[in-house]
Amino acid sequence: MSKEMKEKAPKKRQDEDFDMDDAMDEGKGRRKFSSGGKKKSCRFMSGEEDINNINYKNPKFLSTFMTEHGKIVSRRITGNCAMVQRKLALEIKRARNLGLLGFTGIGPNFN
Amino acid sequence: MAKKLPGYETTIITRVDMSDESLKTLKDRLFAIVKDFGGELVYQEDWGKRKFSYPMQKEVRGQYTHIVFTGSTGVVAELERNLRLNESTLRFMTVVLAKEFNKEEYMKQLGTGTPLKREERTEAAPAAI
Repeated sequence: MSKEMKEKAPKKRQDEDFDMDDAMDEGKGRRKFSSGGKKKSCRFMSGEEDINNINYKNPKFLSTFMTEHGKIVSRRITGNCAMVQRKLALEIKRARNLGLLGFTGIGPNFN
Repeated sequence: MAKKLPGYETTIITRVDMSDESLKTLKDRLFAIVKDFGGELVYQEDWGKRKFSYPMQKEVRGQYTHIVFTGSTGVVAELERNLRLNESTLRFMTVVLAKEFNKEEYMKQLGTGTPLKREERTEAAPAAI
């Protein structure tokens, strides 16, 4: 058991600084998930990012949580906590309604 | 002192070919409504002309106006009724900021972290008024 954990440890570290785009490129179900390791904490809760940036008036920032086809990236990929993800989804939808973000594709302003 | 009024922010998208005067009369009418409901206009901003991410009512670009105001019950309904009557209005959206709006607090955070950053806006819409 302990041997297994040791083997897993370096792998974890790689996971921690993974890039969102890389994760998307890997395709669905490709990324391996282990239940035992340290959980990735939400980047808004850890103070890495300002939660006030999640606002429909800030479409450029919101677009970082969308795929190139305009889909909202899941919590599984981004590591956001539930509260942040709810807010993020709401604000992205608001921005979409105002034409600041697209329903298909992120829009002309940030390409 | 009486309870504080709720605060709202409304973003209005109008047609690009709407003249400056008619936009001004529309805004003046909205401000009059806010006053009628005992509120005040806290902040007003033009985001300029922006390209849409997708066409709206066959328009590709639109003129964005953003207003922040307070007012008693019914102010949003009346405001949106008037916006609907105006044919140059493509779309609008109102968001409740707080049930008890604090103007000082709002103005303070406005200076530090205004979303839709200025440079981004001018980049997207060099043809702003």
